[in-house]
Order: sequence, then structure tokens, then C-alpha cells
Amino acid sequence: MKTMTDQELDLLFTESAKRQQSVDQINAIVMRSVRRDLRWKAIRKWARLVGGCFGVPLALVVYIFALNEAISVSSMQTPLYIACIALPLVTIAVLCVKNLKNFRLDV
Amino acid sequence: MAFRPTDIELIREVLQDSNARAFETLMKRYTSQVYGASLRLMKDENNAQEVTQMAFIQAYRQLDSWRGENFGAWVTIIANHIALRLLEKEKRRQTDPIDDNTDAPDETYDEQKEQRLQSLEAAVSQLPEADRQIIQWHYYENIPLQTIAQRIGQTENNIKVRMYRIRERLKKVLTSTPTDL
Repeated sequence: MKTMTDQELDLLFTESAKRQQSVDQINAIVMRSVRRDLRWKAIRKWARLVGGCFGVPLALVVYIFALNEAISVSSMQTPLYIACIALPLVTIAVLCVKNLKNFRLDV
Repeated sequence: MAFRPTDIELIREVLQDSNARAFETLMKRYTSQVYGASLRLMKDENNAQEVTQMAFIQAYRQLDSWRGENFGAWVTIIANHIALRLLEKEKRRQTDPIDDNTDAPDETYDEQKEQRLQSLEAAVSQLPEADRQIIQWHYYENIPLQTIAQRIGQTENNIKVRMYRIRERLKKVLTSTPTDL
């Protein structure tokens, strides 16, 4: 069996170091993407919270105002009026609870 | 001896604490393996790099679907799928008569060289921690033996002798490892 010479080993190390540079480059690019993903994840999380805190009440106010206007024009009956208010209120409440339950400060 | 977290521990850290550093540690363990597998399929270094990057990014995004098998093997499978998809696309593009863009991969891939590199990597990883560190510093970070000697508090001659022994050991291991398939 032919033994490996010093030159062959040196050449192999040179090639391996070159390979290592490629690997480092890959790692750097992937980590950039991972960090970007994490930043977006944090932004999305806070955006959802802000949307939940301000967007939902705003939508609710607009909805109730519009409903009230519609009732005053069309003289809607009380049970229907209650149903029109209760249904979106329950849906929004469930969504809010779900969002708050999943919310974590550290992520 | 330094504490070395397992793949599962690292993945848990990534998923629960969004720890990017844990993912980096995990990735560094397998980049070379996945890159080697991609290179075998793509036969081109640039394309193999691209496939490896895509595989790790996809693995990160689907990490919660990982079911505790070998992480390296899982990412390698993802890379293989990506590579095959790209090759298929490339093949279709080349048979398309309208598209005459002949951006074919340069055939720089050498199976034997790849085998030798993997054998060297395996042999180096089998070395004791201190010897491995010396190899890393000298051959991969181009640090002169004199500086290494100062770093670990030994004489340059001591390091030279040690390096000679490490090299002899590596040569022996690499000679006994069959490089051709």
C-alpha cells in the first residue's frame, strides 16, 4: 500500500481549508436568513398585539356605530339587534383570548 | 471537557427560545456533510453551495416538523430533494429550444478528491481535542506554530514535534482509508 507523502497531506489540508471557506460562507448566509426570519417573527408578533389592542376595538366601534345607524333607519327588532351585536363580540373575544394565550414576551 | 449539547437540546432551544446561536451550532455540525452530499449530486461547487443554503433555511423553517431522527440525515434528505428539483429544472431548460442560455455547471467535481477530503475531516475529528485545535489553528486559520506555542504555553519545538506526530498519525489513517469507491 502506497503511503501518503507530506506534500499530499499538505495539498489535502489546503483543499480542506478551501472547503472550510465555502462551508463558512454557507453558514454565514444561512444565519443571515435565520436572523432575518427571527426579526420578522418578532415584528409580526408585536404587530398582532398592537392590532389586537387597537385594531379590534376600533373595528368594534365602527361596527356598532354602523349597526346603530342601520337600526335607526330600518327600525330593526331587539332580538335581531342583540344577535347582530353578540355574534361578532363572541367571535372577537374568542380570537383575543386565543392570541393572548399564545403571546410570549421572550419570542 | 467542554459541554457539548445534543442535537435535540439545540433544537429545543431554537424552537422554545428562538435561539439563533443554537441553530448556528447545530448547522456547523452538519454543513460539511450536507455540502458534500449536494456536491455529489450537483457536481458544481456554486450550485452545491446554493443547495446547501436552501436546505438549511428550509430545515430551519420546518424545524417544528422534525421528529427526532438524525438531524444531519434529515437536512441531507432535504438537500437531495432540492438538488434533484434543480437538476430536473436545469434539464428541462436545456431541452427547451427557445432558451439557448448554456449556463451548464462546470465539471469541477472530483469524486476521489471529495472522498479524500471527507476522510481527512473524519480523521481530524478522531484526534484528541487539543491536537484537533492545533490543526484547526495552523491549517484552517493560518496561525504560525510559534503563535500556537505561545497560546498553549509550550515551546515552538514542542509544538513542531507534536505536529509531526499528529501528521504521521493522520497519514497513517488516510493511507489505510480506501479513497476510491
